[in-house]
Amino acid sequence: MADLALVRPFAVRRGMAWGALFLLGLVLFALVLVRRPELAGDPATVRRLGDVLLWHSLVPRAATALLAGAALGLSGALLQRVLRNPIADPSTLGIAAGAQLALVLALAFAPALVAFSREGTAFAGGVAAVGLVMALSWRRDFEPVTVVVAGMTLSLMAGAASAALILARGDYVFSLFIWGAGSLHQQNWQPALVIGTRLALGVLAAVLLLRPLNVLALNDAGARSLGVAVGGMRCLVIAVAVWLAASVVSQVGVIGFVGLAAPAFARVSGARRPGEVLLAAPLIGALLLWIADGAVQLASAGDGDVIPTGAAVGLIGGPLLLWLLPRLPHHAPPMQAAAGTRRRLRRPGRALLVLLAATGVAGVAALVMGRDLDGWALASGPVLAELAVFRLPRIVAAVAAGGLLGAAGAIMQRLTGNPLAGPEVLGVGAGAGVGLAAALTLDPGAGTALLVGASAAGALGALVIVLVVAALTGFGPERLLLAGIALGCMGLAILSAVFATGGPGSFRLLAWMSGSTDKVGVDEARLMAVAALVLLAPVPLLVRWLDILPLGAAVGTSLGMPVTVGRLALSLLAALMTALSAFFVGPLSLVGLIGPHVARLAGFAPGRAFVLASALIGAAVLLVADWLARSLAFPYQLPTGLMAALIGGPYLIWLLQRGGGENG
Amino acid sequence: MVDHARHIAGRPDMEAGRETFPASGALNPDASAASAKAPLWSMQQVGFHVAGREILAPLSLELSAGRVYGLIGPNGSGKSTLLKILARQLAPGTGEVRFEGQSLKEWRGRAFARRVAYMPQFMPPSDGMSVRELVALGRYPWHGALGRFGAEDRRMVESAIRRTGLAHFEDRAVDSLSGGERQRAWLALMLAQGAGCLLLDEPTSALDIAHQMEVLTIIRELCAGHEGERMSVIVILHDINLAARTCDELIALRGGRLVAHGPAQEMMQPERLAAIYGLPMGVIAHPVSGKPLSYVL
Repeated sequence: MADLALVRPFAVRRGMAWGALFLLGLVLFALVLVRRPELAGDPATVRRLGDVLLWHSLVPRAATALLAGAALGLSGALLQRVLRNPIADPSTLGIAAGAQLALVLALAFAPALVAFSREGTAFAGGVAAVGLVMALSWRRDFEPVTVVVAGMTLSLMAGAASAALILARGDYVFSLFIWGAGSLHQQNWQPALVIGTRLALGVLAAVLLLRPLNVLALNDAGARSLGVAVGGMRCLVIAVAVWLAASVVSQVGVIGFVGLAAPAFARVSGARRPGEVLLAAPLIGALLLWIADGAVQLASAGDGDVIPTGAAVGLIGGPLLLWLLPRLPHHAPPMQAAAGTRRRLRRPGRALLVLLAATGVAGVAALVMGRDLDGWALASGPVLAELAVFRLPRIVAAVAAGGLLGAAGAIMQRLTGNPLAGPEVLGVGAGAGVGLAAALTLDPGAGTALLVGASAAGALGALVIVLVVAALTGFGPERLLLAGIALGCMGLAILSAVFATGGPGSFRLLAWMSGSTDKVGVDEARLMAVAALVLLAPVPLLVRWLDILPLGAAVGTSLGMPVTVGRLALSLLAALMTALSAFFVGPLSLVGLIGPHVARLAGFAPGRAFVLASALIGAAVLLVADWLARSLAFPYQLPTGLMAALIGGPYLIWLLQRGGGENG
Repeated sequence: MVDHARHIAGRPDMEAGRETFPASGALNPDASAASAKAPLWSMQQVGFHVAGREILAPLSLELSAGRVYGLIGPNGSGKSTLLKILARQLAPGTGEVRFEGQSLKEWRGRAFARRVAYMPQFMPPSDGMSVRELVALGRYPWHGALGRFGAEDRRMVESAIRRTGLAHFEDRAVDSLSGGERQRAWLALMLAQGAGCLLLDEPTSALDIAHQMEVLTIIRELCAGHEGERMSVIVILHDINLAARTCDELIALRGGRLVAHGPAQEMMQPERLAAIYGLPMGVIAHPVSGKPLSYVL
């Protein structure tokens, strides 16, 4: 349909914009060269040292930045194409989280392994994570949605486990956060050579796979009828993408966002056919990372970087993506819905009652059961009365937060029609984290009141930005997701930068990230309970909108539903729910993702019962997680959010796996 | 409703063959002067552009109530765009559309949805909803976000499901149905909406010949007023023979321009069809009914 002759001027203008960015990169690099630190001493030695610095540090660093950016861009483009999901990228599949967990484990338990080969360890971790994801989705023929859900679940679990280890053995592994945030500091050409050779092979593979990739853009049935072995081909493409990303991760650490942003930028710049995107994405990725790294080097005064480059990419790329979103072409690849409901409950009302009763029983059990110094014990009478003061607030907070996250997740998934759209994706949790980080940086010993205020302010700020960007684009679901992710990347970049400074606030921030309810007092619990009731009350009233919205704006409009108002109201509600619960259980709890999926797989049909079931499941998961967190390592406390990720994740994966046999 | 007979009678002089129809073909001065009631739809210089490209050249049309209008024309001729403008899915780039004498801009969302139902060309996946749940969504314009789903709503849903022959499927998930059954489920949603005017974008594209006839018969019956109010239908159809058989009038677009508009039987002329589709075509009489049938030469 699109008339090429008329599209071209835009393409030319965008091409010029990228040319200008290339010039910016050159200028930054020149400035870095010019502003090399002056060395004192004998002129001959200085010249020799200067040469060494130039040829063995600065130039290889630029080369590494360019090559790593290109590899990540290509990897992201391949993954987005093959998974047919515009928010898939190397970190979605768990590569980064797997590599990080491997390194943390190795540092904590077998430091010799890391000394032997840091790259090897990280690479093995990344490949193991992806291998697990692939094994889990094998039975479903690598269906895109399953692959990405499994990958995100796995990466959140791995992230939670890393955080727990770092908390437990902080001294040893804290330096990992610098690596974890991606640092391009170089001593030699080796990383550039490694990444370069792998990139060359990756490009070759991509060229060879171009035709099947074109066909894979159709749905599976279409591709299969054209004679493409869908499962095998998808596996092959994913393997190439993983190999590229894992090489980068193992050489220079986790650099997120490039893999996500480069293909998105390519599409915004007018690349439409897969070949064009695959060509443009590596170039754009290289440019992005190069510019970010140049800025980092300029900002740091000689010794060590102020912030890791990976964090800087998020800081620069996030706003860029936010700015470009309203200009994204409209024909984004259609999201594939989860493959039909497998079964439906005949009486959702009765099932809801069962769920409610189960949650109640779990609540009572959590109240009376626990561990004391002699082992497991049931509390009763006066002992119970004494313990209740400590236990009840936690239980109330866990139930309220779980319910809110579950409901927010259900709303987000219905609103966006995307099964990956957990509340984490809105960027609100990350915003709350940035607020906290700011408060803790200014005053490491800040009190609870200040922290709650700061995190609420951060969450609200993030929410306003996401909503403004989404409003500019009519609240299209894809824009909302991308805006949320861009903001989340920025937030996490800021958090990584704060971690990397290693100040006294870092540990408190980390404790918040992994989510803990042990600081909840009676007042906070009361606040949570009231807030949960207030926020959940309007949900039954909005349920008709939730039924209509997944069918798309066209159907909504033709039924006379106020589509924009509805989307605004629902995203506002979901964001408020997320912000409130994230303060108590951290941003990585997985509950918002698990709740709706479990509800769907358990057979709750869309409608009122679905949202309520999702909220109840969320509440139950967090309740159990909180009880486990309190009892497992008694007398020590484990973080609740982490426990939730560790128990909910495997269950979700098991359910996804089991649902495989009976499609449609 | 009275317009029906007069409209055809009003143009007895319409010459078969070469005559190119003016863009305002439907603006029959006799009919509009005599008619006390305003036309159901009236379009004044309605056009649409995307990035400077003309998708729909400004066109003016008036359509009356109680009739079946067929939108025909080759792919990319602007049929779907025109239908989307009528359905308020797209705001016209130029000109104005009035429905029941009131500009589309002034209609409120739900009030409009009670009068006009629209079925998009591509039906979105419905994520596990059962047929009955999907059809019940059609009652949204009446009960809104908060209103009770009352006896009248239930009755309408029931009758829509019965009418489309989906009674056996009502508890099945929509996504598990065949393409044709799914298309009928969406048609049932529109019927449940209880609107006086249906806008259908290729409602038969996924149906076998028997079900095509069934759906088109439903459309005809709706218009004939077997049950309650007589409805108006604007339908995009690709099969010219089916369109001629089903519709009272045909409106032909080509390259975003209105090329012909007239009573269905009169449009079945070789020259006219050749001008619409850019293909040499012939017309013979149906061996049984005697109605014109077109074929490609």
